[in-house]
Amino acid sequence: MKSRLPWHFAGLFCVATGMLFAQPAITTLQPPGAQKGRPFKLTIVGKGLGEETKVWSTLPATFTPLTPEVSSPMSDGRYATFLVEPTSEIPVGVYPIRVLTPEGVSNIQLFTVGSFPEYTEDESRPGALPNSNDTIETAQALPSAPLTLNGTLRGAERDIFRLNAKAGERLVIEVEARRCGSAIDPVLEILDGSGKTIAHSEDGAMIGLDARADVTFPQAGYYYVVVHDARFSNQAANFYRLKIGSYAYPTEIYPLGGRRGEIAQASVGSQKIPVDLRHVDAKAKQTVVNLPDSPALPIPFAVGDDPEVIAPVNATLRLPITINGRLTKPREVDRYTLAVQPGEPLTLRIQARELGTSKLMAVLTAYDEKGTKLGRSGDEPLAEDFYNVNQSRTAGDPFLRIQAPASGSTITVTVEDLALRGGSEYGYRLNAKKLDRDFRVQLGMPFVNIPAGGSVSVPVTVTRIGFDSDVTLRIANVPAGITVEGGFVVGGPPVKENPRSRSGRGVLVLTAAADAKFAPLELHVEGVAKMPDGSEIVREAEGPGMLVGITGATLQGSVDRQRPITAPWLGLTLPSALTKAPSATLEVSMVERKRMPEGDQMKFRWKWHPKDPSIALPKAIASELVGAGDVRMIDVQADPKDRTTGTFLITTTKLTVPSKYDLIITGKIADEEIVSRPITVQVEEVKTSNAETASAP
Amino acid sequence: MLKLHLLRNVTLLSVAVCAIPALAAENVTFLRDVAPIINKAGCTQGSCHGAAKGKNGFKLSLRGYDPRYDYEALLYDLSGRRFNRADPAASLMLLKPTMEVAHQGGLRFERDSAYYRTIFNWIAQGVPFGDESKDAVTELRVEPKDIFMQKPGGTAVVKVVATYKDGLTRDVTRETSVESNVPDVATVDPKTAEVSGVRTGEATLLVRYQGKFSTIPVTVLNPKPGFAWKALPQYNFIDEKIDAKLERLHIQPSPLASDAVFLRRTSLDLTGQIPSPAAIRAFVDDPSPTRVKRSRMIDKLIASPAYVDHWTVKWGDLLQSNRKYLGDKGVYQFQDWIRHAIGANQPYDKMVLELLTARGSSYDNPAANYFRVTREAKPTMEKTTQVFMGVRMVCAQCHDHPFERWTQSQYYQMSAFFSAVGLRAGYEVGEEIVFDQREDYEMKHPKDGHVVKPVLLVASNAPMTIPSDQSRRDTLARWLVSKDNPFFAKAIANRVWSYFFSRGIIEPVDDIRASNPPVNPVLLEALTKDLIDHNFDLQHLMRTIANSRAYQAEFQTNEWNAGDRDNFSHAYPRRMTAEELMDAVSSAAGVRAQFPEAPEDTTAEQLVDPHIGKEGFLDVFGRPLRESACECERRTDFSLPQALNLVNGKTISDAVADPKGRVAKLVLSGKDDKAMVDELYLAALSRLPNAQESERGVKYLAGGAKAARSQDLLWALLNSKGFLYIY
Repeated sequence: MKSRLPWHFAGLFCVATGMLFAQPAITTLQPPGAQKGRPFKLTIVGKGLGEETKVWSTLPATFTPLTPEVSSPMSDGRYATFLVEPTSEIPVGVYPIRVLTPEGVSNIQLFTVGSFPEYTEDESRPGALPNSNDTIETAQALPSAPLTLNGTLRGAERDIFRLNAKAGERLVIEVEARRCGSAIDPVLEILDGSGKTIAHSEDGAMIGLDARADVTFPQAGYYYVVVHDARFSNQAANFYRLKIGSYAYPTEIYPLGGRRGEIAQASVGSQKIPVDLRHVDAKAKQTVVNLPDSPALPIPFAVGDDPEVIAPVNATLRLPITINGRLTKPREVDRYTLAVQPGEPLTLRIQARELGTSKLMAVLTAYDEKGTKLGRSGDEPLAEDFYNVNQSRTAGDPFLRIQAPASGSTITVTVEDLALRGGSEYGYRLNAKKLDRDFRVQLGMPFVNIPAGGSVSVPVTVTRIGFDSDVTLRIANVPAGITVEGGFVVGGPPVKENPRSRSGRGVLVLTAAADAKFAPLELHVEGVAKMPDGSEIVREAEGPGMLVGITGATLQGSVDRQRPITAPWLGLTLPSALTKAPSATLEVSMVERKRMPEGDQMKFRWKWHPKDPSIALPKAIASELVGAGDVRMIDVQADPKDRTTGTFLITTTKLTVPSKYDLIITGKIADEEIVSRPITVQVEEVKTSNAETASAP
Repeated sequence: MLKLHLLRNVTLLSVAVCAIPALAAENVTFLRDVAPIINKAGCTQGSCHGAAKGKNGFKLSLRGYDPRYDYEALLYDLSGRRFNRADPAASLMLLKPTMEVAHQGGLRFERDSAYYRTIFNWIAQGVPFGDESKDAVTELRVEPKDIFMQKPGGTAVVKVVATYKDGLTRDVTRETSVESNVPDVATVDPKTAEVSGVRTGEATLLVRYQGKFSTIPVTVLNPKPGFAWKALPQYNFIDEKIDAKLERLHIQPSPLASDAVFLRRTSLDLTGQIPSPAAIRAFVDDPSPTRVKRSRMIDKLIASPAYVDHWTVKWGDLLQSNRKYLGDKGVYQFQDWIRHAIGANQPYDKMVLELLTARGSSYDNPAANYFRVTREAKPTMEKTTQVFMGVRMVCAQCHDHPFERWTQSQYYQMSAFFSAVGLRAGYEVGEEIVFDQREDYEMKHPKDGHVVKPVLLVASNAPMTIPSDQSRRDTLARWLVSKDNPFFAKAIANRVWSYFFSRGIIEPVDDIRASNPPVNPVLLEALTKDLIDHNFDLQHLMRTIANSRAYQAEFQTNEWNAGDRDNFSHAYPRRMTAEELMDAVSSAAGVRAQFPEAPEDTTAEQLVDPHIGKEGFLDVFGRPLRESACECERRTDFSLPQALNLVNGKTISDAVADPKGRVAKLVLSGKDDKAMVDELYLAALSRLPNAQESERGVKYLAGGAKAARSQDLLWALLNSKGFLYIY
């Protein structure tokens, strides 16, 4: 596209090139949603969005670039506008949007497609005054339903809208936020004309932390719709979608999932809906279902690979099996009999709350044929910080690893709610299988841009079940010109607090040759674990899909560490692209090792290789001996005669597990993080009186 | 093992000493004879061997609540060397209190005293404990039942007779502790139990003997001649009960306060807000009969949103709604739950029942937050009994309650109702699940670790089976809110009363016990019955109180009630609470206070918890941290930092100078000086200035720049007692 930049901005343009050539990032989509079946204009707000910005999305539509409405050096690279034309019938739902530029791939933001005409909150229009609809007196009048209004909450505010309803009119008033990738945790209140609350909604089983009120208005007149954040927090991703109309929506679903390759029958409220799982991707762990033609967002439907049954089940079940059940009333306890081989290792796993379609906080218990308890999970006592109220603590669905009794051919498994609740929203999936060793690989970042001639690190968490060996990470589809290093996840004894699993951290370092060239692709990261018997288990890594930070700290001095919003349901591992060369590279090498009575003291040297000798280099670097416990980095010293180099010490102790480790160092030049290529460091077992000095390995 | 061994030795010694001639004496036992002496001699006081860790290595139970423990302590301490059975006079137990050997506690009794002889004989007889089925006290008979003195200087003698389980009686006056709760009204000679009236007023004598208690009310009348009761109109039963006592005490109540004073007081008490100038003018000018228009105003205030805000603050305090315990989202949800209960005027018993039986997600069921604050069975029980029954059980955790009948066992029996409550992190950040544990939930007694079964503090009149499983707290909740619980309705009636009269009928409001009787038992009984008869409708209770003549009385006193602080014969001014004061400043100055992380239109009374605006104006003026369920955590005293804040602080100086504030608007409106003075008085003091005030105000405004001088005038009014106090 030809540049329309005025000539008199050319001088300033050069100053702003840093911004222009930054890796792309999306902060906001304006608007965050659109009505299905209609073309619309989409402005992507962020940075590094140059003229060659292309949209990468599963949304079936064409994205035609438009000239930015506002053009100035300050705005260049911050906006990219497209005319979006759907190419086929787009179902209501959320779709990932990311951009590609010559500088790499961006993060994902979710875009929502709805059924109703779309409007923008007055206060959210460019240049509008803040807090202009925060009182009943200044409430923004809403057009006639149905409608979807895109609004924002800027800090501690309430957005108030005026609605004109008829006597006896029923309206569903819904706020979509978390489901659409917003950090807002919305609260919805409906007030009558006198300001009295007639409906209130905060969280729901089928809508997570979002809010929905189903109101039949008692009399004709004005009513007020109030939207605010549950914590009155200040979020960067602060948008919401207020949807109003008279429509049906899923209030419950049963079963919560089905088997890949089959057609499952789901009851969504009173309707039976076939869910076709015959063509679901082999990696996908869920799909979505919805009421036919409902404007509500679809709800998740789990996908499994084991045979499935739907409760009630009276027969003895053979493993592997997934049982779909529901605690239909309070105090209900569901019981299942499973056929087992004496002494075989078993894993029992519940899926409920984590699916987003159940309120069940399950307690899972297994008994032998005599009724002796073999194990229980889901009601373990709190950790030792009982009085140190940690608001950030969370619990997921329980699982149980047990060994089948030496005698007997069956076990009984019970499922109940921790607080003995029950009802239509208390469904679950119980998976039971013979399994003694497994592990899960989770990527800590949703995408990666690899700098030409530089390195980038990818953090990975490995959660082991039933074994404790090292795990090695690798990439199955490495493009030409890319070197993969590191990725060693140290094994070790089980963690005392949680003997059922053990998490370990690894870091993969990807380095691109200076002349590397490859088209953007999705890298497939794998973990390989070698078992003591020589067998090998390989597991593909799961990517978070996206990461949207949620502010936890408040000025009031309390910190609720919030979980970021992720989208593993996107099924992405590690989208990747090549980006520009870094400002510098960083190198690390070991220069000395001392064996001390308490552990090792290792001296390392760092070395910067700046692209431009005049660049301001940081005086210090950070280091990580990946996965090592009880290590300290001390005595960081820059060389007084050569600012590009320096040394630091790393000490280990008896508590540091003897093993090989990856060591990487990082440094920041402005906002750019430079990562070294890793080196391998061997930590030896500490023996008494064996202090000695060694040279570099 | 050691104890058994020693016990055997003592038994042998007991046999041996039979051969030694003792002083001629009747049988002496520890339980009946010796324990009362060591209590009376002060050995078991908290400052002596009754201290938590004892004194000089020797520990007795506090105030002798556990005679068996004390007996064993004496018997086994120093390997039993406190007694010399061959030569009782050489026993440490006699040598120490008579100072024949060094005793840090000083002389407790003389060698030739009756106490000495009793202990001597007890040792000589082989230190028998006694028989609990015979020697335990079953009843105290106290005379007189009440003491009524016509004037200060009068005296009366208390006589105490104990009845034992074997039916015998004994005059135990000498060993009984008789204490006055108001010594400057009535004093007691500890040796003779003679009571002396010191000044006009009322006091209560607490009579204690061997774990039994009784009280004697003392009234000392005003000796001033010429009292003639002048009956005032009685608006409801409250006035009847109050007047009956006032007439008996020769106290003449004050008449009704003016309409303006009534409106200000009622607005603040019911809604925490001062009335606007327009509201005051409209109310004062309303020609309806006083009682009618006041009643209408009470209804209007109760129906206002500010009423909900105000009582949400009070319940937020009591239920410790605080993000420190509940997290950011949790505290907003709990506040919403409280707001909803108050806004819907949920019957009080239903509200409490919902709290105590709450289970599940703290996000789905915010009432469950009740258990997240205290988290453990014992503090939960302490909070529950203190807030909903007005009973403080905390002392009984370590020992039987020193001033009440509650025992340590009862403390654990009540705690056992909550022992199964479990907490577990939920799926969402900040969410917790309150549940009933399935195993290992029994309450254990700290003394020997035996399982303590749940037992109600007071036996229920209705048949009630307490389940042994983990759902036992449901039973407690049903009993607690029942009409036959003698504490529940009384506690809330008394607490609500205190919010309107600056003191409870029982004070402190959360310390209801036999030894802390109500100042007007008949009144409290009637109030309680009325609340029960109206199904725990708290709005009805408030409406009844606010419609009484007693509540509407002026604070000015007459010659007959000037000294009265306890009998509700006149209004008693109190300083506004921190939130009331801040909102009043905003209202008077016509501005809105700004709070971090709260929407712009938030008043101080709407703040969710004490973390907003902490260490600022609100905390200086005594806003509680909500770390305790005690009313006492909220301070309404007056301090130097408060005075300095009012005079030099930014809150008032910024408010009066706000460009959108009342002063700026008044000046820009072009009103004349008198109208401006009137408006500022109405805005700040809720009344018009009197002639002198008006004249001075007008003169001051005319003396310079009107804006600056109006700011000065408003600043001065906001610093006056007439503004700071509810009267």
